[in-house]
Amino acid sequence: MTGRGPPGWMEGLLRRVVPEEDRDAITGDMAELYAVRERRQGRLRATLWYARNVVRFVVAVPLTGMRGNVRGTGGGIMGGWRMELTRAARRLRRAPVFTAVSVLTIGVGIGAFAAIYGVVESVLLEPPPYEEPDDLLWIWRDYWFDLDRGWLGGPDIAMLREQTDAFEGVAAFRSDELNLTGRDGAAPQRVRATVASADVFDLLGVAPALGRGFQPGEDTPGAPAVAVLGHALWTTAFGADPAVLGTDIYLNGEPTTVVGVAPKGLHFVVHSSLGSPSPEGDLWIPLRADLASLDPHAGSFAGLARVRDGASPAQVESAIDAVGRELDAIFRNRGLEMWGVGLQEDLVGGVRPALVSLLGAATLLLLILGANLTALLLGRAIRRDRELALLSALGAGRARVLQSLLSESLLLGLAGGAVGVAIAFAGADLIRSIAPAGLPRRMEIAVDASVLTTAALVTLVMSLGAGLLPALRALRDAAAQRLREGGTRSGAGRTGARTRSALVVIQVALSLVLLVSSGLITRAFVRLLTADPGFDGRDALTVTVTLDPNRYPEDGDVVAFDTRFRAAVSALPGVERVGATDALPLTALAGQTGMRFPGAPGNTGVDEEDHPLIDYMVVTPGFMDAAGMRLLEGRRIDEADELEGAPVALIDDLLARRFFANGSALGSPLLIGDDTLTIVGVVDQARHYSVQADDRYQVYLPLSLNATASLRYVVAGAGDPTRLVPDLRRILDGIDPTVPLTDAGTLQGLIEQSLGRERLSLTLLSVFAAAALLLAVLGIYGVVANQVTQRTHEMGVRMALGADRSGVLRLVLGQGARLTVWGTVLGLLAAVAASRVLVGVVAGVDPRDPVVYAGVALTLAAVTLLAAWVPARRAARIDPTEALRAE
Amino acid sequence: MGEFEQQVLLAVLRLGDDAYSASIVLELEERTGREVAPAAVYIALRRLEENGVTTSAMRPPKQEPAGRPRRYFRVEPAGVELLRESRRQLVRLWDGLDALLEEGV
Repeated sequence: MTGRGPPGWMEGLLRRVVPEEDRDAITGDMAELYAVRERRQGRLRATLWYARNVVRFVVAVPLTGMRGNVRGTGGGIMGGWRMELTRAARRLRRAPVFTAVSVLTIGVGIGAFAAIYGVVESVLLEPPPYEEPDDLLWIWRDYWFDLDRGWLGGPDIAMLREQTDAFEGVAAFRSDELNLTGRDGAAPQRVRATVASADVFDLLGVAPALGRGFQPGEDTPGAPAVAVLGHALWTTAFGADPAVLGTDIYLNGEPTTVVGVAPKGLHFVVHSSLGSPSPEGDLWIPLRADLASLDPHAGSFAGLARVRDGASPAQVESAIDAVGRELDAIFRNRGLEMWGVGLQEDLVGGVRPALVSLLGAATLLLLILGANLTALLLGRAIRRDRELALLSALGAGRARVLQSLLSESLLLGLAGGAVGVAIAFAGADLIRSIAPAGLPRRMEIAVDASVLTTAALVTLVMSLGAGLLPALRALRDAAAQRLREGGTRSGAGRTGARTRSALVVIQVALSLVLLVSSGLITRAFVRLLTADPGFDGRDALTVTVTLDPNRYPEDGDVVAFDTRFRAAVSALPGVERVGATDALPLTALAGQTGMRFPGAPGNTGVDEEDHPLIDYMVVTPGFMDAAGMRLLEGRRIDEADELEGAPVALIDDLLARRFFANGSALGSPLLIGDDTLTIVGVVDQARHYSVQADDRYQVYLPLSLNATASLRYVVAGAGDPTRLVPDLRRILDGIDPTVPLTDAGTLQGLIEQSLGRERLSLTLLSVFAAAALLLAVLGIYGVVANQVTQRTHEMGVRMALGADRSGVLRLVLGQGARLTVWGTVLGLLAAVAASRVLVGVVAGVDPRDPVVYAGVALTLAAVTLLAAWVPARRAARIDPTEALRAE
Repeated sequence: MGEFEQQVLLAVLRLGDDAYSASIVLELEERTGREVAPAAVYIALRRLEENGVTTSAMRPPKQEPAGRPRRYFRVEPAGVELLRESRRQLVRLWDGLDALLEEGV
């Protein structure tokens, strides 16, 4: 198979450099060699080879004295540039400090910008890796209470599938956790499964890397169990062995035939109803259920629809509305709604404010660095004034002078861009590793060709833009005047100095914006980190123990396991309290159901209001103590409740206030479906979704009422609790070695994990702000120091005329202070405007927080004055006689 | 004439009617086992032609008259004489050293 030939722009470059008479022969021969290379080594190697050899032509042909381009202006300009670039390179080598500082300045700016842009592009801009992703919609519904994304019931999916005018297909999804074991049940591994209807791969338009996807009928009840392995799991657990196809793996003990392997890079993220995307699955299994016959009240699925080609948005909307009305009728017309959201929008909508503001911060940093670079180049141009003036005087045209100045910034841009790309690659790796698992499409974050192209463009604009100001200045001033000005030190380069001062003011102002932003985010973050999560046991160990339902079929089996395990763990030295739940705080794993409180004083008589959706979790004795949850009234769940399956429940303070505002809830009934429980205690709510106050109600039940396969144990005791993990594994081995022990962590870890997105924003913003502050300080130091050097003579005169040292100190410091004050005032105004963007980034940001504004302004003032003080002291130490003699 | 130019000249000779820059590059790579830069071959060919050692003509390949025209090179008698002379010099320099430099010893 032949490819598309060498990249067109490289071929175009080649055509430009080779002599006209050989142009067709050489490009043809090179294309031929490219084809040979591509056949032997693949396109990438061939392209690299081609690029390398085009460069050789570019370098070698002019050296032979052959005229590359058509004679005339084109060749002349190219020739002039080549010469100027060679000279500029030589000049830059002679000024290593200036060159290094400039290259680093560009590199840091471009690197930070490109890394963040890479994230934004991968997460927000890049279409998901499915066929025509714009035609994919998530479909959600609400219940008789509002939800951002409510799961669909099985019949909802069946009804949507009947809307064939609007949809090509509708797939149902849910995620599940399963135990993956070998044939003998040994080496248990916890895997996340995406459970989906059989049409899922067709719907996404994704072909498996190996084997096949699901076939129609494999998602019907009683169909033989099959699985498609995710690429990562296939690689890690099966050594990427193709022979795994057709063999059986054991999922929760059930033999399951591997029929395919998903392609690498298929990161499918199911959006959970709770607003955060659930992590990518390790494998795919078909949903073996008859959707139409499932209970319409039990919302369990995310629905993904592919819009039929040619269906109008109005058609799609009316199809969804029609199903919504049918659904509402089933629920006795309580005003239920159903709606569709574009797949990409649904996934990333929540992180957009954070990413956009980070990109804004990176752009600010880039602007600061641009101002800094301009100042550097300007300083350099001023030092070259004489040389340039001489050049003009000797008859060099404006174009030559411009070329001479711009070629330096072009070279600096080239080197800086290379450094920037290296920083961007490292930065993207770093961001990927510190990004929270909840960041959608996290694994796709990368610096790719389009990021590099953007970075290259930005570099070009930045380096040429920064070089333009000095170049224009050089052109504007008459050559003769510059010869004069360059000829004497005193009062030299006033125009240049003014421009540099303006640039410093800009830098100070922009730094202040970044510092204020990072300060506001820090304050909000600290508030979140130290907010009361409703439990005190931050240091307690958490682990997940998952029981295979085939081995523990009865509720009593689970309870017996829990009793035995807790007894053994309590006996460990150093362990003080231990207990389990099915949904730890801040994990959003709780189940939800409607409950009633018959006879409670808080009932309003309106059915919807008196039948709220409540998060419920089971707890075993000891859990509340181990997690440090606070009992406000009544008693905890005890051993007798667990063993006897007592119909008791604890409610949280929110529910107590809502239904039992003026009395005690203890002893009152609680209705779940047809079951009546008795409220025996009231607890302080342990936050389940966010460390800020949750507004959802909570109910705690004994394990025996709702025995669960996934038990999440909390172990509290003296010392570092994580050291207990091997002991816990040993105890498990004694009870049942097939039970996996996973997710070891601490409750504090859960708090931090729940703040992962905020932490990422905070970390990056702080890095940018620190870089900006450093640059502002260097900028002020540079300008003031330069002024001191240029005004040495003037200082000498002043001192000779009787000015004292403190007067000189004040004079020079005043200059730095003026820059600081201007920068601070402008920066504060800009920061007030910019801070509004931050409100969506971290919950609880107060964009007017006076402490932050005042603190940042004072810090910046102090630090920049310090930067001015260093050269000011030097000025004050000037020996007048020396200074005058030097002139 | 430098060593590389000499190698290019030998390749042109060996390729006969089929000597154009791409075929020369591939021939040299095959015989020397090293990557050869087309730009270097091109420059060497230009030099050789400037010195009257080779001549060239744009024409389609003999086997497929409708094909892409290529610049084909031919070694002139002067070039053959140059190669002979350089070989003679080499042989003289090698004389008596065979035993010392024989490979595998």
